[in-house]
Order: sequence, then structure tokens, then C-alpha cells
Amino acid sequence: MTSEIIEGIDLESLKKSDKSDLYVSTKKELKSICNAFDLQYLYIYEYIKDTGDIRYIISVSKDDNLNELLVKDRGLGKTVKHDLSQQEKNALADEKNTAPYVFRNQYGQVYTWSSPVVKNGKVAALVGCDYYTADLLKEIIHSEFVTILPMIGILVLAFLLALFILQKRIIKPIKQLSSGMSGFISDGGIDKCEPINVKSKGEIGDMVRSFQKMSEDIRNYIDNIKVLTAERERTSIELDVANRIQKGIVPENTAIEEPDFDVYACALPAKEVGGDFYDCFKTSDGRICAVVGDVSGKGIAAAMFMAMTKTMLHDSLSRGESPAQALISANRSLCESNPEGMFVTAFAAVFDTKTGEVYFANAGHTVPVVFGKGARIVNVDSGIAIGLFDDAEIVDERLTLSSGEGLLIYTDGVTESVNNQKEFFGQSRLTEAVKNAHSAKSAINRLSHAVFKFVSGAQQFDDYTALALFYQSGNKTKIQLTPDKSSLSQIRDAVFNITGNTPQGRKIFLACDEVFANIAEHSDADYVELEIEKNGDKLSAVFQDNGFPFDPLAKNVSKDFSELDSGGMGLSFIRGIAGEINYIRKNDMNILTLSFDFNSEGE
Amino acid sequence: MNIKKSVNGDSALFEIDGWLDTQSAPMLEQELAALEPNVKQLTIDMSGLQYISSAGLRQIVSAHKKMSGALTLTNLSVEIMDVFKMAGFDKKLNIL
Repeated sequence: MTSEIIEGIDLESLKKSDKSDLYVSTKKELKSICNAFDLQYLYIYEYIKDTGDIRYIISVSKDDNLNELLVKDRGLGKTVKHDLSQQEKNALADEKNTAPYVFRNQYGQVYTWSSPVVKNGKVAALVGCDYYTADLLKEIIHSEFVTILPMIGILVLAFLLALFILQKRIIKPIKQLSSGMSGFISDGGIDKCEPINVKSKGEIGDMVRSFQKMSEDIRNYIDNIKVLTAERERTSIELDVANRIQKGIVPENTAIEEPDFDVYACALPAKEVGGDFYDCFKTSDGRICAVVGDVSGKGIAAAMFMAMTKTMLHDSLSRGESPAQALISANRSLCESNPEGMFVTAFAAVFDTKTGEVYFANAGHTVPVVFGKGARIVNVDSGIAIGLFDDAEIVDERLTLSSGEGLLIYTDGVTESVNNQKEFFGQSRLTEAVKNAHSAKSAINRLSHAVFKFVSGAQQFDDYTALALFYQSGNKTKIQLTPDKSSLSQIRDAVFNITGNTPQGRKIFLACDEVFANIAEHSDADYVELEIEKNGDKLSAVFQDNGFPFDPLAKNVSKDFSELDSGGMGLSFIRGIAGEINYIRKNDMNILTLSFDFNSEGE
Repeated sequence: MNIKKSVNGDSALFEIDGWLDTQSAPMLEQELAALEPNVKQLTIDMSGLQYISSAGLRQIVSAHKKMSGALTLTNLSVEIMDVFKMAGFDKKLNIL
């Protein structure tokens, strides 16, 4: 199509000058074609067969910028060395080209069409037109870039901004919070860790503030606990000291043992310090004072009140006041200085160890039990607890223990000991436990044994205090005997009065029997005296006679079995039974002392 | 002390209870003396015996001699046996 338009152009006139009107108008026309078809270049040129060069007649481009350059490079008459393409060769031969010549240069794909310009049946020139696809692409890309790039820029900026905000508002505070937390939970971190300095708002800020508050609270709690622990430690040390002082005031066990009586007491405080107490001591005139009391409440306060009461009663009784007088004067003193309204139940007794008489007074305390020959609850005036009313009426009463009887005073902790079935130990179990006791010590031991067996594992929740007095006038007996076997029953009674008719008693009697038989048969004495004394776990029998000097220890007692019907076994029995035998001759008297081990429990 | 005596042909049984001491030993002595000469064996049941002193043991030795050793003691309490052991009789006598 282009060549047809061009064929109408007068090539020869055109070749004359590029300044001619024709040339300019042709150029304009061609340019409009270029523009219309979007051709990069449109040019007409001749092929000079002799030199193989091509000579341009006219060249235009759709691009105005290129047109000036074209005038210089491919203007009229410009000759360029050129190898003909197949398409150009075809055009020269006036053959139709079906396809453009395609090649690539730095601008992209170039499509070149070559067509002949036929004048007078001859190919006068060639028309070439170049179409650059790259331009198309470039344009598309260019226009897209122009619109997309700013958007991308905005997006990137927005992203960076978001990242910055995220970093500043969320990530940094969370990192600080997390490092603060790990600092807090590390060893010793609670004390060392710094407060987290985050000024963030919103959820993160709330979280930080909550954690801050929590860690502060924990720190405060820990400080509090430290203070409390230190305080408790101090208190526990003080309690320990108090406990030791109390043990000094009320020892766990106290025993007074003499031939005619014994006193035994035991105390087990339930808590570290308790309100139970007892006191027992011997006055200068040989009487025994005994007190058992129970202060209301437990702990230090009760213990202090107890110490005060005990001291007052001790002083009064040792001054010779009667039990009631002692309790009344203690009551008066306690009432004067008792801001806490505490009170004490107490039982005070004075025991005449020579007669077995017991003077006592009760101030609201549990009633005592007489034991030894069976057991019975003593009917006593209940009185009233001291420390509450300054006109409390407390009276003296009296009972007489016969030999072999004792008085048991105890606190309610004994009868109110509870077993796992929530039963109380009670008075009947108490009387059953002590009824056959034959000493104060055995009564307390039997009682403790019974209580512990009863509670068996259940926790003792009250103080446990018990005190027993036991009267045994027969612990020392002196009898005068005629040296005749009819006196044996006297000896037997004297021994059994102390030991009871028990296997142990019979054995001791056997030794005495043999000694007396020896004296009666061999000494020719007309006066024999026997003194038997029990002292603790020893029993001694002292024989004195005015017969011939005779030391049984000096005599050899080995005899043949067949000769034993004439005697000789007695001495081996004496030696076999008595733990110690001692003989002296003094004032023309044989004095033989036998000493036996004696277990009060009869075991 | 009580002695229950029973004779069956040439063997006799004494059942003693109570106290065999200086005062009661002569009773056993009398009972031994009163045994018929044809009695060759004697058993003493001591189940009721509470006490024995050397005076009692002497009579046991007499009985042993009189029976030419054919004396058997039965049912001794632990306490009585202790006295026999103390005298060394447990090795010399036939005690069941």
C-alpha cells in the first residue's frame, strides 16, 4: 500500500533538492503515513548495483527527534554500505514479499518491509519501513510504571510505617516485658529486677502494668513473709525458753521416797507450754505438801499465771498455812491482779507421813481418788476456782489413809484423754487402773500406761498431770520373837505386810524362815529381834539374837544328798535368795543383815 | 497343810497342799512312818503346794531314802521347782 502511494511521487524531481517544496511536502506526507501506521521509519532509497551501496532519497520517522538525525544520516544523497537482505533482493526483482525481514537490535524486535517503487516498468527505488515492537512494549511498560511505581512507593512507605509502629508499640514493649518477666523469675530476680519502663498504651500497656503490679505485690508479700518468719523464729525461740522454764517450774517427774510413804508426780504439757502444774515438797516438820492445778487456757499467758499461782501456794504451804488458807490467800492475790480474767482450779493437800492423815482443800478441781485397797472417789467439797471472786469459799477437809492406801490427784486432762473412737478415758477406767497400786509411783505408772494404751496413737490434746501420795506404815517393822518355831507366823505376817503374799514375798520369807530356824535350833538364844524395812526397790531384814557367836558365812555347806535329811540346805537357800548378807557380832549379839532386791510391781 | 493319802498295793500317793515348813514338816514325817512296809513306791503330788522350806525338803530326802529311790514328785509349780533347783534336788530326784 505504501509503495502504491509512493509510486505516485515524482522521484526524479524529489532527488533534485531536499529544500524544494515537493521534498518538504512529500516528507510531511510520508510522516503522516508513519504516524498513521505507527512506523518507526519510512524511507526511500536506491540501490547502486556497481558499488553495492544504497543511496537514500528521503527518510522520515514518526519520532520528531529522530527526523533531524535522519536528515544527517539518511538524508538525500546519503550513501551507505549495505548488504541486501533477501526481502530487498526480492523487491529489486519486483517480487512481492510475503513476510517482513525481522531482526533484533538494542531497541527490540524490528520488522522491516521492503517494496519496490516501479517507474516505467522498472524498479526505480525501494521503500523500506521499520516497525519497532519494542517501542510498543516500552510504552506499555512505561505507562504502567508511571502509575504503579508511586503506588508501590506508597505501599512500601506504609509498610515501613506499620513496621515502625509495630516495633515501637508492640514488639519493643513485649520484649521489655518478657525480659522483665524472665528477670523476675530467675534466681533472686525478685529482689534484683528493675521495674519495667514501658509507656505503652492499650492491651500491652495494661499487661505491663498488671505485671508491674503483680511483681510489686509479690515483692511486698515476700517482704511481709520475711518479717513474719523472723518474728515467728523469735517467738519459737522464746517459746522454747518458756518451755524450758516451765519444765524447771513443773518437772516431768518428781519422786519422794521414804520407808513409810512415797510421792510421785508426772506432767506432760500438750502444747509447748501449758497451764497444768503440780508441786510437792517436804516441809521442815516432815509433812508433805502437794498441789495439783489447772489454769484456764493454754500457752504463755496460762504458763505465767500458773507460775504465779504455784509460787504463791508454795510459799503459803511452806509457811505452815493450811491448804484452804493457802488457796484463799492465793485467790486474794490473783484477784487483785488479773486483768485477763483467768482462773485456776487447784487441789492442795498436806500429808502427815507419820499418821497417814491428809488435810486438803479443793478449789473447783477434779475430785481425787483413794487407791491401794480397791479405789474410791473421795467425796470432797467442790470449792470454787481461784482468781475470779475475792470472797471465794474454800474449806479444809481431812481424810486418813490406812497403810497401803494412797491419794491420787489429777487434772481433767487425764480423764478427758480421748481415743480414736472419741471416747473419754473417764473416771471408771482411772479407778480400775490404780486400784491395786502399792506405791505412788506404781499408781502413776499404771495410770499412764492405761491412758496411753487407751488413746493409742490419738493425739493428746490436753495437758496431763497426775500426783499420788502413798502411805505405807508397814514399810518398817520391828518384831520381838521367842526362838521357837511357833514364831514363824509372826515373821510371815511381818514380811507379807510389806511384800504381799506373792511369789517374791514367799521367797524372801523362805530366807527369813531358814535364818530363824537356824537360830532357833542351834544358837541357844533366848531373845531374837527382826527388823524389816522396805526402801525403794530394796528390802532388808535384820536379825539380832543373843545366842552363841555364829557366822553363817563362815560355814561350808557342801553336803551329800543322802545327808541332807539332817539339814544343811537352809544356808544355801539364804545365800541363793538374799542379794547381800552381812554378819557382825556386837554387844554379845549376832547381827545378821539380809538385803533383797524388791520390785514394787511384784514382777 | 493337808496330806491326802491313798495306797494301792505296793504303791502309795500323797497329795500335799498348803505350806510345808518347819511347823508342818513333822506331819509328813508321821505319814511316812505310818506307811505299810509293803509299800515300795511313793508318788507325791505337789499341785496344791504353795511353800516348802528346808524342813520340808528334809522329809523329801527321808522319803527318798525310805523308798530306796522309788520316789516320784509330780505337778510342781514353777515357784516350788525353783526351791528344788536351789537345793540341787532337781538332779537327784525323779520329778515329773
